[in-house]
Amino acid sequence: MTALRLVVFYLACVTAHWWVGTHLSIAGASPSLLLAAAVAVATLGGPLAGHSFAFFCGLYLDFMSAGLFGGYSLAFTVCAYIIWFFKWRMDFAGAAAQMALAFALTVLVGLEYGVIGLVFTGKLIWRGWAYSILMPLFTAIVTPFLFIAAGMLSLDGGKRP
Amino acid sequence: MNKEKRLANLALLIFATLSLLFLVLPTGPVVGGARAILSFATYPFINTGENISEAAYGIPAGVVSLLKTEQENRRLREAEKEDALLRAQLEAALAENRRLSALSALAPVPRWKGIWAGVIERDPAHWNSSITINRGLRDGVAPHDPVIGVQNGKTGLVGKIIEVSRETSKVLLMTDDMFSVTCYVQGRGWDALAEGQGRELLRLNYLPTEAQPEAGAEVFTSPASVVYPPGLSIGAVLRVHPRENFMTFISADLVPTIRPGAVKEVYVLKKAAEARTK
Repeated sequence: MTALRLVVFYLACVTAHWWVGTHLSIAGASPSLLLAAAVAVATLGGPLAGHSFAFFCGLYLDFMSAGLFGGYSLAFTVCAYIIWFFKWRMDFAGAAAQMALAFALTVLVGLEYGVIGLVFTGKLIWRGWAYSILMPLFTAIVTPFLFIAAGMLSLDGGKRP
Repeated sequence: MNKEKRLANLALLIFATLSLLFLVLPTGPVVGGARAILSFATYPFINTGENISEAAYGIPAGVVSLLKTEQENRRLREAEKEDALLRAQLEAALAENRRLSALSALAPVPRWKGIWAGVIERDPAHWNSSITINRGLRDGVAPHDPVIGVQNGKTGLVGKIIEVSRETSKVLLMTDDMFSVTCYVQGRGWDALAEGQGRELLRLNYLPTEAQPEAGAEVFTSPASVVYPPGLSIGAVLRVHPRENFMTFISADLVPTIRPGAVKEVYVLKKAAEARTK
């Protein structure tokens, strides 16, 4: 049942991400709803739900991009693992903490993707300062809402290791 | 290491390996298959989203259009009321006209019926003489049918049909020197004969010697005419010629209501055909 809810949530996030990216970009940047959703599910759900959701969110971004196929899915999976690692040590219940987490992870994903590009294509993928600053900012702003939405899925957060 | 940690590590291992495989493998069946599955799963939602988005973007324009249509509809309804009033007035005038015609033993004025026609030929050699129109026998046009036109919001006589072929007809313009029509001057009721002169102005002949029409007085077709319906505007008096001693009538120049040289479309009245069938 949880898996089905996650699939529905995933498809809703994919559609919303596409719509926001297509119609609501500001200065060439828009919030990464998929990353915010992946952060929320990875924080509120167990390791399997969090990792798989993050992987498929990244895979969708790979599918939509014309570049490296697998780069975003790898970066998102690593992010899910980092969240799982830290969620027992830090409190992400508040909106500010969620925003800070999303901001940091969006920057991290950008760096990861750049390094992956450097490894697999021989050149660092860099989208410019405006994109690299605005996108984490926008993503941080929408993250608390994604946490609220993910909270409605009644995910099993797992047990403290 | 407890179960949760093992599961997290395993998930990281599986998904990271999958991602790396996608990165390492050439764009072949594996990557292509993954792309196809994602495409199959997500495109319907994106398409639906696009459709909803387009519909949502169309709403403001649709609302503006609806508001404009509503305003236009209201204006047209008001105009229709005015038209209905005018129509009622016209019907009343026609009824009154029929009643008076019956009382005075005059023939009732029939309603105009006819067909619009376009001017397809006008030869500079007979500019004020004749034109050819794109209606003929096939459309019910017959010789002697009156031809009228509308110019600057005024309706007036143009001429009459003199030749008819299957698809075209020739119109003798009232400015031709072979053309004449019985007429009367507005207000005073003096009967006269309007004649073409082969130029732009018409000649009004046989006005009674006591008649002194003012410049600008309008001239209409007379009820005495057997070809033209009564009350059709012919033109307006331009100047009255001084009476010669030997003449028993006076004459005047007329400016045609419809300048035949500028007419592009005419209305052929089927009065002649109706009279024949009667």
